Amino acid sequence: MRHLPLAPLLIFYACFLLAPGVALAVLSLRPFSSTLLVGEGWTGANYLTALADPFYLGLLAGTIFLGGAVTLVTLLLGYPLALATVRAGPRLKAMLLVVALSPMLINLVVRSYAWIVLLGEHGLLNAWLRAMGLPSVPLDANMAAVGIGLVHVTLPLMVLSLVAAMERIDQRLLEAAASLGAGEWRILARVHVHLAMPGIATGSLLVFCTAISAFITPRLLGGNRISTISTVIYEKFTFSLNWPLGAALAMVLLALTLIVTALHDRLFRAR
Amino acid sequence: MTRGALLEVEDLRVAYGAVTALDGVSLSAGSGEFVALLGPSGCGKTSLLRAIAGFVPPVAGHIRLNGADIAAVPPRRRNIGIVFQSYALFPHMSAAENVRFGLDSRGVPRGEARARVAEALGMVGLTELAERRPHQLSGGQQQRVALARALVIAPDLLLLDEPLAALDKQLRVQMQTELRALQRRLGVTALFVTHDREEAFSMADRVAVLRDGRIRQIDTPERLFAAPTDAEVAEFIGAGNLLPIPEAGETGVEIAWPEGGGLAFIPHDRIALAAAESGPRIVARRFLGVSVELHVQTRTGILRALLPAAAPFAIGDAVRVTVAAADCRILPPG
Repeated sequence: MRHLPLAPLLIFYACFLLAPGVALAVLSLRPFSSTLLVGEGWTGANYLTALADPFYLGLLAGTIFLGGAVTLVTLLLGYPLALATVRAGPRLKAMLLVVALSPMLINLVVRSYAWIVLLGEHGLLNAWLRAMGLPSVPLDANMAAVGIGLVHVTLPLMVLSLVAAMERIDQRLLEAAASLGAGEWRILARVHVHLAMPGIATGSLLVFCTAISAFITPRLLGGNRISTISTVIYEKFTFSLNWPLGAALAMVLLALTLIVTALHDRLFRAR
Repeated sequence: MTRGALLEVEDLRVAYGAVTALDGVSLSAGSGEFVALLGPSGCGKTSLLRAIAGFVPPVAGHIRLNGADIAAVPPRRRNIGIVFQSYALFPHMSAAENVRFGLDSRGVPRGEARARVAEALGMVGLTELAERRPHQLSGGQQQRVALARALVIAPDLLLLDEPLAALDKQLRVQMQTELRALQRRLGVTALFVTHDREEAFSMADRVAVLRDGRIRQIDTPERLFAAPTDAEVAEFIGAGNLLPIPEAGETGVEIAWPEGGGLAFIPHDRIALAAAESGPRIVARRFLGVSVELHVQTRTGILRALLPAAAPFAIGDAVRVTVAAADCRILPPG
């Protein structure tokens, strides 16, 4: 009876998460048929393609690399911002949090087009560079543009995780380190980063999983030249109509997310 | 100010916004001296420690260490060892790594650092547990690690912020003795914050009584007990009886009451009792081992007398109370 209030939520998840998930898993094990869309019987061929074919392996590696790079950059950008937020007085803290969260307040599609306007071949940045007689920077439909867009999308997740962890740090530990003769950098490297580790881990997990499964940003900022697993899944379902392979790729993406989450759990929940 | 004192605090004012935590505090400590800061919570004793450590900028006043003003010196260059109430051990480092942190920060060569860490851990009796993490150590062991960490850097001054408050009574008494012996052996000057009167009086060379951001009295434990400056200090340290001086008339206390108003201060151990037919009666008796505390109901209030344990009085007995004139002093209310 105690768990009765959870029933609506469980029904919601069962209908809209578990059921489609199972359907997708079943679909991923069906053979591809150019006439029937989805063939009869069972096969592991889709997974063999998704995990052994050089093109799809490269796609997987590229997506993981993109996720890793975006995670690293958001961490490097987010840490100082989170640190400043935690150290600020109440008014400045509220302001910094709004700044940190601001990317979430703008629609994702609008944001992506704004980046194109800013970074594109004929965008503001390159117009300025050309006006100053400098070579233009190609940030149009390439991995760097997708990375910048994803960092912008995921930075709030990182900053919020870091702020939450940093606010729990016992100030006495930092004072103890200072009294023992450690300078700011030493305190940061030897003490603060270790104490903020739960936030670093949670933030990295959220950012990585968001980045590898993002669709709109790579699709719009990558033009048609950049593929990630997400954009290829979309393409398999809408254009090449190979639903079983698309489903297998989706399952691979899901497995990747679960592996990273399990890894995080193992490293940080056990303590 | 004592000339040549190791630590001199002069007219220090500390405020948090509109709230004044310390208001004109002056204090000095000689080399190797152990000074206790005694006061109830919120009296400013921790603020004083934090100002000396450099974590709180004073609004006014001076702090001198070895004769030099340290207002502009950041905490990490003050060479002050601190033991925090919560110990503040680095949870991700072993006991040895915690102790070593201050030496690494000072760029002490590797071999020398290792030897000094081993020596410091040996000093607090933790050689066996050097590789343990703080969460694998008991409260008392963590306390020792914190002490070793603060002492290994050979600080000019050791600040202790209620370091024993989290320990149980028995361990606390043992650590009081050990801590004092260690401090004496190393000859390091120590400032010890506590709200525990017994702890302050049993450990310190001098005790500073703090109240409402001011030092009310600073003296040796003996002198504080014998001659508190005002009634509030006397009451806080529990040094003796405080009785309003009666109007003319029989009170059952044979005292040459001093002239004037205010409160009369009579030390517990300066009261003589004799059996009598009538007069004030004993209302309570507490056996304390070597002595016995008797509560005598007089007309102006209860008088607590400390007598040898063999004193032949029981509850309900009538007594004649005698106090020598020299042992009864008037204290201003404070």
